Amino acid sequence: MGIKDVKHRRSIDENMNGHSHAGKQRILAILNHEVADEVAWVPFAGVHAGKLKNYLATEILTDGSKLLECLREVKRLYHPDGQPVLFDLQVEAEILGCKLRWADKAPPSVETHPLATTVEIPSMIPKASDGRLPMILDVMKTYAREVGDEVALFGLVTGPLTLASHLRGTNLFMDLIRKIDYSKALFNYTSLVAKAMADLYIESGMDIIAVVDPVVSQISPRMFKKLLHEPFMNIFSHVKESGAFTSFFVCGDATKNIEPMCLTSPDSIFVDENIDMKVVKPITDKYNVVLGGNIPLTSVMLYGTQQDNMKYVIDLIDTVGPRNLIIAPGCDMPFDIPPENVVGVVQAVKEPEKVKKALEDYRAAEELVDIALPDYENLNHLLIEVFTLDSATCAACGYMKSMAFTAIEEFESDEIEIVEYKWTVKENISRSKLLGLRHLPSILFNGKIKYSSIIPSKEEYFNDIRVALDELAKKK
Amino acid sequence: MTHHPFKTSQSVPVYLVTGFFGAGKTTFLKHALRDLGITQKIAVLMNEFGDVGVDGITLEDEPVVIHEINGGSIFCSCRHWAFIEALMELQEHQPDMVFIESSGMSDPTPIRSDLKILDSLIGSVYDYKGAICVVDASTVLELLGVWQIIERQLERSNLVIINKEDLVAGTNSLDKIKKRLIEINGSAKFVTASFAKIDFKHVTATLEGAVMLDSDKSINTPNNAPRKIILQTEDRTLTKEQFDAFIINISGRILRMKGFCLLDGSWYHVDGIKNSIALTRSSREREVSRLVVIFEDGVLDPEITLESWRSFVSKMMD
Repeated sequence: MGIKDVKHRRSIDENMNGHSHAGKQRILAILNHEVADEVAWVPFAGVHAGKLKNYLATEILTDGSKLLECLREVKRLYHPDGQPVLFDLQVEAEILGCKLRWADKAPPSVETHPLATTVEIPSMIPKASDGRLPMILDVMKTYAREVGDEVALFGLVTGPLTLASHLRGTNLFMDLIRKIDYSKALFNYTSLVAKAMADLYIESGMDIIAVVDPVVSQISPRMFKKLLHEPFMNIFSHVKESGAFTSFFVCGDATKNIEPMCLTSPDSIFVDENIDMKVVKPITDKYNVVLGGNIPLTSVMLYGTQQDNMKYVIDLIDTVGPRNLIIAPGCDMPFDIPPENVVGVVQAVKEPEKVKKALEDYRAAEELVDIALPDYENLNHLLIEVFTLDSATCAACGYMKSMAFTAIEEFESDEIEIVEYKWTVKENISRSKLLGLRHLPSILFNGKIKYSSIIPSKEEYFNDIRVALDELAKKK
Repeated sequence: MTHHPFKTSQSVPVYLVTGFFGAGKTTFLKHALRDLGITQKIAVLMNEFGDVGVDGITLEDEPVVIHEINGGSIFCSCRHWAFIEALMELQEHQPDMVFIESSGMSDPTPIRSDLKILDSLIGSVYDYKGAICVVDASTVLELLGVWQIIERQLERSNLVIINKEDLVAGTNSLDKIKKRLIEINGSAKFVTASFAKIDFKHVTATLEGAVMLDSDKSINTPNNAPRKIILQTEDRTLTKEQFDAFIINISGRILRMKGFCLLDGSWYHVDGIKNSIALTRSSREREVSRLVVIFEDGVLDPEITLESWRSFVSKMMD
């Protein structure tokens, strides 16, 4: 795959003529500041992607086949419009000589800093054969071939300030006062590294280059303008000339730096929960920069309920409006986020009006219609109930429903009965509340939760049905 | 070690120590630990590698439980979960007091919301006493113009220690520093020190009297009672099959489960959220099998879990 030209970058949506977009076109339309058919969604499933296939962080960050398997699973379950291939800000640092410490449920951290005791500017620029790049570029090329027409792919490069702090360690923080010229030279070097990484990623099929620089939230706006404006501006213009879109990822309270960041001309800025999107959206709109974010990672995505996740998205869209907006988690999603919470986010993004109505019904469910639950204890057949958000639009729900109904052909009709309840119907919300169901999609066997969010294999499902039927027979 | 039979009924005081790299946070902690003496069991939660690079001072030789969080800063949004988990794990050590030494680049603002999440998970185990910010008098004014993080550390503080006063010539300079810091946070208390030496009794007394913003006050309330149980057994004949049956019986309804179990003669680390509980072999042996189970609010009565544990795992339970 060759380097895309600038014309392509700016005209990808010209032939859409008002038809509904595929995920990728939706993202690119939004980055071109056009009206998209719906709000776009980018799950930052870095290490969390591993959880979906039972792999640890270290496995998916070092093993290409496992990473690919997980990326496919993210696409299958979370319906992304855009997707990062790898979320690890230590790739460049490792190539440039930092020692990493690996963790099971998080990206590695930098343990040693090669420039900690020496004031020099390295000359090494990463090549395709360095460090983990052969694996990463290979995965990018393969995945771009597979889904490149449907999903906008993000290649993440480490920002010049964060990479400088990886290389120089804590000394960098005084360098900005005592060694200004050295700091400038170091940022010039780290921005050359970022450009080289961006080139490799664009050549491997990435549509959007995200420059990820969390340390930017800690520096004063004055110093950002003085030392970092130029490096960021250079990286973004280089990427744009190569035909890709640009994004500036920051985490932490970078509120005061949003305007200086906009002035470096990225196509989009992604922020986390430390920033109030309502406060910064007028600034990003003023510079016509797309704003992405910022579902809270811990309070909502990790420990919240499915309803909390849907509510956050609905409120966010209502507050800042759908224009120039991409919904995303605040940062790399924690490993252990329950998949059903992400499924809730997807549903809220895809069907905001239906979900808004359902959430209102959910809150009022105490006063809703009386639902008579079946007399589960005395049923003489196996009642399989599938609760979905809406199997027509929620991918995970669709898979769960399809799996549930595969049993129809395998078992006799007097043995089993299969029913689907969609959460978008008022009565079904009452029903799910009565059953104590919090997470969808779920399958219940005679009133008891059998599978929640995790779709069983056909073998496991049929086997469980046989066991349940045996138990029923014994009861009879 | 002192035995504290009623420890779980008391809240553990938590102090947050913030400050930029090289300000003297670790030195302050070393003095505090000595003031507190070895009769108290102190735990320190810090970033992996700490800020060792700056001055080489560590807590390695101190009689404390040190818990490190790897990667990022303690309060980075993608690491909040690790911070919360670390405090949950520290609780198992039953400390008398906890210090959180944040990295020089940490924004302490989220500590309140993180502790609120923790409260909702395990109840009022911790009692937040306030934030102590250590600044280097010889560099703070220069640094403030460069790193906005220092302003946020000061804004969130209840007590500011203006350290290295000996490096600043003349009271005029110190007054100038104090004036600038008061502009940033007029409600904090200020003390000056050299070598971060300050009597810890003075620190606690100052914090008791400090005017805390409402949002900074301890977020412990009587309404957020613990929703967790600890399951423990000395039974050494448990099987994986028994344990799997227990997990299936309660899965989907719990929020979090963590601990170690001896199954089929081997030790396993049990860890997971909701319906995804993983067992991994552990080389470390324990005296008893022990699990901490945390529930979602109002979803499953802990008694049902106890009943499942009794039916599937062990009738012998401590």
